Amino acid sequence: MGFDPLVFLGIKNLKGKEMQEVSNNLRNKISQYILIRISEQLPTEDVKRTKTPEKLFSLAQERIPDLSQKMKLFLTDFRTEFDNNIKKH
Amino acid sequence: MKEIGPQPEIPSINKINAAVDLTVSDKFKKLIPEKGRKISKLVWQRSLLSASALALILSSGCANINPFREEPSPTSISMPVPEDHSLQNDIVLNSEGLPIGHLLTNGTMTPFNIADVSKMKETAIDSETPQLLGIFPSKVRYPDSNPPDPEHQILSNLPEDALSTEQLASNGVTIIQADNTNLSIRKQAFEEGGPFAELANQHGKEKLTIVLVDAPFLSKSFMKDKKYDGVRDMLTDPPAIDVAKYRADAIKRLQNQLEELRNNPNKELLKEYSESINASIYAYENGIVTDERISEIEMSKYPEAAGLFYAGVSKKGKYLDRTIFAAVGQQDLNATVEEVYFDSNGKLTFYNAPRDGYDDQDDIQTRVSRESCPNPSDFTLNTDASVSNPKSYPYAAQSPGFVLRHEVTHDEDVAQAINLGKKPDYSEYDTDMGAMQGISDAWNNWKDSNFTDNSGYYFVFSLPKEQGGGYILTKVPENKSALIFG
Repeated sequence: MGFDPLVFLGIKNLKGKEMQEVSNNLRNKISQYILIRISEQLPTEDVKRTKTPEKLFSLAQERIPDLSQKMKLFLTDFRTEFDNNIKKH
Repeated sequence: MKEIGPQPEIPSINKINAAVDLTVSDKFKKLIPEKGRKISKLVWQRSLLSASALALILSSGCANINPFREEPSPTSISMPVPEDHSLQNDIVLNSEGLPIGHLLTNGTMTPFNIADVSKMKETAIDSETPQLLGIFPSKVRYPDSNPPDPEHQILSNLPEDALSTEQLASNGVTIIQADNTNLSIRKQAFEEGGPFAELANQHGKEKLTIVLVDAPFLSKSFMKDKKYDGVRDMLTDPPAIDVAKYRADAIKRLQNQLEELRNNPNKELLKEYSESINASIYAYENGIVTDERISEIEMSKYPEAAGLFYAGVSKKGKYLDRTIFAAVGQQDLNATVEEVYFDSNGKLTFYNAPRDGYDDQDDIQTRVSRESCPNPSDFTLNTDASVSNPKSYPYAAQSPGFVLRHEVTHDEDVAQAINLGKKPDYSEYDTDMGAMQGISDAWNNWKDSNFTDNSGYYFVFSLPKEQGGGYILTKVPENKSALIFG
């Protein structure tokens, strides 16, 4: 079963095209967030050498212990920060 | 009557988007600049140009975060950068540290307009937005990230079981060699269970011509040599690519992205990402993305462009003469460029970037299996392909050795099947899977023999010894310096 960013962030009441657009944007932005968090965990030189997001992710799987646990943490952080930012607007 | 309390506010789409933008940019700002710059390139090159790539990352990441799923890690890829990177030495600075020209290898200098350069630096500081000075060929070369190892060994001699030209001809096979690559075929291919066993049984009554072309894809334009006279017209080139339109569209698309950033209320985004987009625009406008590269990008969208099976007119219900084409050249995946710019603080900065023009990389079937004696895991599986779609390619053209196996499988499944009165199988999916089965069988034989029997890799690609020599199995001739087997 795939990851549903709308369910993950508790966003409801969107329909059709609107739901699709928001979902795509969230998926995209959460991906960016995860890449940023992954890069925090890696040496600068390794990050600089990486040519694609996919390769950065592969590198992370090789170099970061307990990555799956950290990914859960990243996502939880994202949700917390997102919730805080929603309140600001 | 039940009392209803205050309902939680449902955020608007704009509010959601603004909050998510802020969440990402806040985190981004905390990255150290060197990492931030790289990440911005990775993210924005992909997110603006290919959102699907990032969705894929997230999907694969979520395989790990979803407690209900645990999947094996994909093969990691590392890309070491040599230490002798030195473009900075080619940019000549004046006493104030401003660049005044680019020193060429012949000792001459391409001067910059110092007034423009000064203005550029001021603009960078005033607007807090990086300003691109230019893009230059890079001296950095990325070495092969998958160097040969004992399992993917390079041999120094052609295997003794490779058949001579005469022996091949007596079995019905003729090879038109490429300029830089020679193909030999080992005897196992003609033995029981091999793809040419049926050909061998015909003792030359049926003929197969294998045509190698030293190019990343098949086109008549690469086959002007007389040796191709008899086979060139079997190819039908895809419609001509309008390179100028592609270039103009790419520039327009990038300019639109820049405009979107300018209109985005979050000015941090413009500050962070404008340079990389400007660099892409610069690359298209100044021919750093060459016409040839654009053609490669477009042609690479046609998996069949790497190989072709051609069965001529049947005679009495039999295809007696067949031709296989295989593109055995390699795109120069190593090429990089150096971006020189003033950062948002006005500091002259150098950045070694992948050569632009790869923005449609998701659609490109690059040939990544660079080892001798590959195993199935050296190939990337296209998960969109399925048996229900006979025009889909689960592996496609990832190495010349695989291209050959694919086309040879067509020969088995179509021409040989018809000649034997069997039902032909035209499915590209089945053909690709059949070719991979050959790789798998060869690998199992190689592995089970404790890496002493590589006879299952019956295609041997050889290159001139004066270019380095050596023999490897199913190696892509990227460096034009070895013999390769498939």
